[in-house]
Amino acid sequence: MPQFAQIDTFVSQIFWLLVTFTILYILMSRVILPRISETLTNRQNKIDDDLGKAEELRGKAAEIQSAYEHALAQATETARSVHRDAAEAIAARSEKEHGELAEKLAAEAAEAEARIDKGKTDILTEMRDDAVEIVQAASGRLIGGSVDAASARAALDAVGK
Amino acid sequence: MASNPMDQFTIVPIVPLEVAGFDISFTNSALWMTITVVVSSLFLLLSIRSRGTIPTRGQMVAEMMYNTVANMVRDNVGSGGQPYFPFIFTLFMFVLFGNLLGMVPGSFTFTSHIAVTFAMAAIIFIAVTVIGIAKHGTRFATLFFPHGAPLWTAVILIPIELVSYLSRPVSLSVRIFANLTVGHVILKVIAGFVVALGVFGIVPLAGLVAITAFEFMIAVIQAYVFAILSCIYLHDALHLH
Repeated sequence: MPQFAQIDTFVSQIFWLLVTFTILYILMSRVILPRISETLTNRQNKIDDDLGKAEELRGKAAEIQSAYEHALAQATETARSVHRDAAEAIAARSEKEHGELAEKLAAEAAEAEARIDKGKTDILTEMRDDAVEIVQAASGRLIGGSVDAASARAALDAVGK
Repeated sequence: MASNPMDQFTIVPIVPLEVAGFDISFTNSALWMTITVVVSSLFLLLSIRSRGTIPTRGQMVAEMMYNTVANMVRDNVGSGGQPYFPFIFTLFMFVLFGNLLGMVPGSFTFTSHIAVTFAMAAIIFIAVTVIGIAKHGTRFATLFFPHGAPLWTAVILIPIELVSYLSRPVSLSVRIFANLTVGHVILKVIAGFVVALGVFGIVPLAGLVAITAFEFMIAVIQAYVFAILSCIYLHDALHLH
């Protein structure tokens, strides 16, 4: 086996091992590893940064959402109260106008009734006078005597009862 | 291609070099270590070039490797493990790309050499021991005696714990060396069957395809195991069980 047979090469092997390994160690520790670690750190920072930003934006969105909901609730409340006030005003006016109209109508009705009553009384009085005259004329023709107006009226009243 | 399945492990000097009596020739092993450094660095550098917040496919792979090792260090080393992360990451990438590039036909797998794996294991072992002693002083010795055990058991437990501690670099290095060597030998032997059997070579060829996939898995698993055991040893040194 050359591994054990070529003992004279051991010094050379170990020498070049030390040389090449040292060079690689310096390259790794000074150049390559710092670059990789820098890249990894930068990426981690970027991820943390983006996550932080996302969190912040989410907070803002939630704020806006709650403000919107608040405004919406307020607007709804305002609309409801306006509606209620308007409805009340309309109801009050309608009631008032209704009352006025009813009063007017009642007054007119009363006036008309009074007029009718008066007309009726007049007509009845007139009719009675005519009836008295008719009684006087009829009794004159039937019994040939004259009946005075007072007796005729009394006789009519007795019949009319 | 050499017919001897062991020939693939032969170390061949490319640029002979000698300093203070030591032969430090630039060999095929050193070449593939260099290629490993270049390929793993370029792969990571190019894939993270855009440094995008939204990663590209290559960037995903690089970040996955980073996170895998980062989690490994966090879970297995625990608190105080962060300073050792670059070392563990380098170790993982070095062994992983060494293993994977070793799967390229005609390449050389430096992690299949006990000299390399034992040197890495020994460095980890010594470093971990030094860290443990520097952090805990003499209390580091309690690592060899489980807390709460009856005192008389020390006669048995301390030698056992000591042996188990000292065998760590051996098991760490032999595990990866043996896995890689055996895997490559099997590939080469079965490849020899394919050639020898002619038309019927289709049967070992099918097996070869499966074993190749298996070896890729071994390459990744051994790199992972090597790194994770280093983390566990580091944890022991930092927290004493």
